[in-house]
Amino acid sequence: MEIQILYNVFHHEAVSILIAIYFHIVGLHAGCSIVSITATLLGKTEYKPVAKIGAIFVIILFSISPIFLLADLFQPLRFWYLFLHFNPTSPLSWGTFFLCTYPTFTGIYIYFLFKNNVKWSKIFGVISLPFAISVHGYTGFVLGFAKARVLWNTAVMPSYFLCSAMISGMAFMLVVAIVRYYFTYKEKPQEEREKDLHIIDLLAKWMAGFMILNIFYVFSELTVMYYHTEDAYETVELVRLGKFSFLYIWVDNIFGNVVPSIIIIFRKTRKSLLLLLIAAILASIGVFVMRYVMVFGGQYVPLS
Amino acid sequence: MKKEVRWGMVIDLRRCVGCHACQVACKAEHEVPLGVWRIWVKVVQKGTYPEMATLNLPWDCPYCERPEESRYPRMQTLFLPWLCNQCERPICNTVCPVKAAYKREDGIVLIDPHRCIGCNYCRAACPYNVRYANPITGMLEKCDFCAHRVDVGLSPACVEACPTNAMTFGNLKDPSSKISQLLSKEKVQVLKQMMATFPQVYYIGLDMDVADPLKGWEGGILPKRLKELLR
Repeated sequence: MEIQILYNVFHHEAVSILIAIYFHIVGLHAGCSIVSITATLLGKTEYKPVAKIGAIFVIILFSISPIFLLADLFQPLRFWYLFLHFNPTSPLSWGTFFLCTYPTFTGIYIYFLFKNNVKWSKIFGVISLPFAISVHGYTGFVLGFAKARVLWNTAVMPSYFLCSAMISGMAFMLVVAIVRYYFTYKEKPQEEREKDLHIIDLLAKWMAGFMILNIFYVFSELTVMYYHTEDAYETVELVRLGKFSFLYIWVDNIFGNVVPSIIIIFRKTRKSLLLLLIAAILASIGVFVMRYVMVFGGQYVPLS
Repeated sequence: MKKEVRWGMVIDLRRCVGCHACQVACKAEHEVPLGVWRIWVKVVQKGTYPEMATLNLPWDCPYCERPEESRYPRMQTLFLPWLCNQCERPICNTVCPVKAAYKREDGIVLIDPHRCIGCNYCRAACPYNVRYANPITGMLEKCDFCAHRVDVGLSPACVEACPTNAMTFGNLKDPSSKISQLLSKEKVQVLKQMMATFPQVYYIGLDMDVADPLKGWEGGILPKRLKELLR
């Protein structure tokens, strides 16, 4: 028996590319600030450059990220209604709260970091760490609470988003650290060069760790979906074999997670800065593609 | 004593002829812009097509020997008026960040146009794809059971326009209303029951092939797989 749809209405996609870009940028600055705060809390003097690089990029990236949110609203001049009417069941309301508190505490933390005030920068680092986690964590809940779309409505989504945020933040900082080393190593004595290389090595190792965790999340998400409803089966086939398979499986997971983590795991390849730079760029591209596939792949399966 | 009211709708699909009058009446009533709809009639054709008869099936197909039998009587056209289900537990209300979407005491789910910021989150979360962004005003809109007509004692525009009386609108809490009687004596179905939104638009004679959005979907992998399996 054959079935043919003669007439149906599809309203166009609800979540646009601006939101995918916003997810990526908010993940970048949350990842940067988590790395920066962790480096400060560990308290070793050689980690200080990492903390400062991270802090500078938090300021730059945070100041551009809400523009994408505002541009996506159909009534951008009404954005202040979000502060007036708080809805505790809506993750967008949580996000409004986090997007206001996070820059306040992180700003104070960055001020004390650049004033070289170790004690107070540690105190405000501890305070702003949960806000840095939640400012990206809420975006996972935004997708997770949209119960119509099976690709989004999974319990693994918030932690998967946080994990990829850490990868993108670390990849970004790795690129900056390698470029910084390339331009400054001639003027530095041998000891400081080794310190810089040690930091690059440490960042790369942590990035590989998060990549392996990310691969585990992807594996559990895809396999659990095969044991779920008809919509889930259709969606998982779409991202595994269908329209989004090249982007999701190859660009995001093979070239964005597996290849960079293999480069980092082997000692010989990890020592090559060029290969590390390529690995970091591949990881950044992979994370952006993951946001794109999550936003558009989730909305690709029809609801009516 | 205040009378309890819970508005609902029963659509008798055995009576629906697919004339799209409800769709046109709704457009006229609410001045819905081009490209978006508050109610639409999904039309699906199913059956054994003549092309199927020419395939080389591995088993004995009763229709292959007599291809003429695979035409008219072995296929049918199904209609499904698709509108906002005015859920008892609406997900659009839950996720709205400014509480612009709300449910009235009589069960009609509405959007406050003075408060909506157009963030589109309700549209992404609705399992029925009934919300749309008005391209002119930038506000999120959907079917509201013609709340302005219901408040003055009229029925919704689509119900008035239906030439075959397939749509019945009424108070679900009133046992003597026509809708309550239909619900108690007919076999009814709702759309996407597993979403736990408890829709208040009921269908009589709903077919699974028209209710399932994935059946007959061109971009789907599952329909193609099934077709290959059947070959």
